[in-house]
Amino acid sequence: MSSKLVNVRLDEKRLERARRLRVNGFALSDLVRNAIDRQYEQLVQSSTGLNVEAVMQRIYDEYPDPPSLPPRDYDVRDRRKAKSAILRKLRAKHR
Amino acid sequence: MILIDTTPLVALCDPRDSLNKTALKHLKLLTKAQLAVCEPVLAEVCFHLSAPSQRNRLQRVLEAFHVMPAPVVDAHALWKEVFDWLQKYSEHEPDWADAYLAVLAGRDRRHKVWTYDVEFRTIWRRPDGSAIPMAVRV
Repeated sequence: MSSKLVNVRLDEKRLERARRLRVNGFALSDLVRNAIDRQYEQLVQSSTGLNVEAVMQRIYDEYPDPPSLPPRDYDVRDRRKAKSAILRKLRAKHR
Repeated sequence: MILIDTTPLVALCDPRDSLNKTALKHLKLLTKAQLAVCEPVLAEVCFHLSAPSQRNRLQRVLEAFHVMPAPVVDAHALWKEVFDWLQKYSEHEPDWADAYLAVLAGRDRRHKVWTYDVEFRTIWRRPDGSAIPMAVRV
């Protein structure tokens, strides 16, 4: 397995803690790896625990479209129409 | 890892999109996986979501669901693979984002693509010619 070296800056307090941990047999690299794994698991678990509908509704409520914004007049899945819409925007930009 | 394409991202961020409810249903199924998006897809999405409110929603969706940038190793080699792929499918006029996703899916065979574009199911293949794994059925 390939691995990369990562440098971490520590303030004096953490440096002292790191020294004491090392003296007591803890490898700093293992501590960092374990902390990353633990935090990542938490992140994934917090994602899975999300109430998707509630989160999305909050986002829609937080950033509503202004009433003046017309609905899109093309289907994004329609390759040609989507391309034409992008080209229209690019042309309008350069006018 | 699930690579999100333009169509579901636009549908999620635009409640008036005809696929909005479908995208929400799929998002519920996919939040257990790590979601990722690449720059070409984000650029396309921003063309379709040009209002500030829409882009704010896009930013919030990426944050709320911990969507990460699609990992790219050796970007120069990736460009070459993407150009080669574009050349291979030139008669079907693919976009850079299509090619980018197909190549990324080929580089890591665990990647799946979340898309509503029919071409990913019918025409586009990974560079080695195998089918691109889909994250959802449509």
